Amino acid sequence: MGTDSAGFAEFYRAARDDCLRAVFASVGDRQAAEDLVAEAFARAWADWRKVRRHPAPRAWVVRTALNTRVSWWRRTRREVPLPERPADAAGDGSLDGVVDRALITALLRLPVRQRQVVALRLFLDLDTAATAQTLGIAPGTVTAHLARAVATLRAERSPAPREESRQ
Amino acid sequence: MNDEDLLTMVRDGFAPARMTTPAEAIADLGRSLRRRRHRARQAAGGGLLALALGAGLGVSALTAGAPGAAHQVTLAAWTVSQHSDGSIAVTIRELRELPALQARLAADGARVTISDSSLSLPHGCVAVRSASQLRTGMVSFGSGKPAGGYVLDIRPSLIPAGQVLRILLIPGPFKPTPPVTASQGTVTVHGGPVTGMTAPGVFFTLVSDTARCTS
Repeated sequence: MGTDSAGFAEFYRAARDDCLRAVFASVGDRQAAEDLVAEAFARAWADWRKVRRHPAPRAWVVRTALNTRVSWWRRTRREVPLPERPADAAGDGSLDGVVDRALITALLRLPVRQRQVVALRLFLDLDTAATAQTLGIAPGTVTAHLARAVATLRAERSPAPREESRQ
Repeated sequence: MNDEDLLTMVRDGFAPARMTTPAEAIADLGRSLRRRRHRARQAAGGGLLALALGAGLGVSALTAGAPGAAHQVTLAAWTVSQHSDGSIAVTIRELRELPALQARLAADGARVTISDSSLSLPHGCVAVRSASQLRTGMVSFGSGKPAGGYVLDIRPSLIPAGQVLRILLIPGPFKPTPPVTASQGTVTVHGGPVTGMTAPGVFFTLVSDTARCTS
């Protein structure tokens, strides 16, 4: 690809971790996120002339990764009836490397769309309009999803009321 | 804690997560994707016939049999070794010339379809889900593991009558996943790298031996 190759390498170096975190936060599985993001970046490599002109290439990668997940699920669901299980429920390491496991677990309990909104806003620094465009939803819906997600996370973080001991 | 602090905490929680896939691997995968697209365009334009003819010529280029093998066929992409007990060892190095591989297996008496592109069951084809029809040893991963490839051991005699073993090599990335046996017992999943593969796994499914499933 000539200079394209250098351009892609720079893009990958700068964007890969944020894209991974956004997809990880969306799908709740560290390894699956790595695979999906790798696939999405490979597609970006193959279409780099187009992707590099995209107004938000990182969002393109994340959107592609999330679409790929849906595609994989559709392709395999009829043939591989593997049991669904909550992320890290079996201590399988899917949350390895995450600092606040309780908070992340709370995030993963959010509805998928709320999670995706949080992921795009947090890890890609997309504004409301760009988030809406990436997810194909209305800007008002993005705002509502974010507000509900924050409220839920705040409730999860609130310490449970406890009885004060008498002195 | 205000909203901003809360979101910052979430962001910080994911900070340790980092991509471990090297850029070179991404580029390799991208090249593979381009090749597949190119092949698909060729096939759509009538190139499929040429590919099949080329594969046929390749099959004629037999190598000497391996020790213990009744006979062996080797292409650059794969090797099929049939043993005297009727079992077949399939070594897959690259996802190429799969129609020729399927033809070779059929010639050796194995009712198998093998594909890297037809990821969903054909319309009207139903997977066999009865655990009683899965027989141990019908297909398994062999002990050998060539660089970037697989060895599959197939016992054609254990494929139930009226059924076909469907093998899917699904494009996907790099990280091997542990072998999993689905609860219903008809599917074994194993992930791992195959050169030229963009996919994370090899999937086995039993399907009925009908034109809908095998065409």
